Amino acid sequence: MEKGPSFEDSWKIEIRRGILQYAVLAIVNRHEKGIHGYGIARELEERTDGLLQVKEGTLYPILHRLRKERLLNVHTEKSESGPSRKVYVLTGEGDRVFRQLSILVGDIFDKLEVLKK
Amino acid sequence: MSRDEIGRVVENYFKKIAKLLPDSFETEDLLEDLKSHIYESYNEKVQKNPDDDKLLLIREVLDVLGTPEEIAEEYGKEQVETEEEQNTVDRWTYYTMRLTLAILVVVLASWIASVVTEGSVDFMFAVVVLLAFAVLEWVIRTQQTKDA
Repeated sequence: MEKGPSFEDSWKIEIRRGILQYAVLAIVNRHEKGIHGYGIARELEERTDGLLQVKEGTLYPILHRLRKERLLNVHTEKSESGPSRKVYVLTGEGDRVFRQLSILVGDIFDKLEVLKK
Repeated sequence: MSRDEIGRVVENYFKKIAKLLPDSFETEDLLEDLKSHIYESYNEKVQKNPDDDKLLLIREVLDVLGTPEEIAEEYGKEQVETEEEQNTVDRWTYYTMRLTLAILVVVLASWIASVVTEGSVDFMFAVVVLLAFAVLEWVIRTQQTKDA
């Protein structure tokens, strides 16, 4: 009989998804003048030591979703050698949502720490 | 390793993604993003390892980017979530409009019945009876839709 992913693996996938959207907002928030997709992927890998194990291509559907939700704005930057690239910046609403989520994330981790004791 | 061969590997990768996604402006947009990502990642790798096999490097880039299936799966999830939210909004608008229309029809029909019968049929009585029928009709129709 074919065995599905373990409970631990499924749990990791589920939690990673939610965190990833927040992590993308956090990285864009660090760059006032905006950051392009490749930069987001690099920073995500470097700053989290690869914890989230993200396949870089899967970031783009998330970026598109955040744009649709009007949390991110995009403008195109011309490249001297390669194809032009999109630069993502946080919108006013994105900034508000990011601040709210940051408080929520902080609260969640605090409460989880209490539960562990 | 020839540039043609690298181009072919990338082209096949894009063809597979395009096949898995709907033919839309959003897909075009996504492919454009991926193209620019591959270009930057590949160039960075070549600069760091100029003597390495270029085909190996592009395969590494595509491996880190994810398989076409993985990208399409993530794309599908994001689309479904957005559509579901949209559907919830649409559903509420639909119900509000239907309810408003039903009340209007009931009030109008009751008024006509009251006027035509020169007051024999009480207006408020007619409103209550017609509203009861409207609710009954809605319950039966919901049940039928569920059964179907």
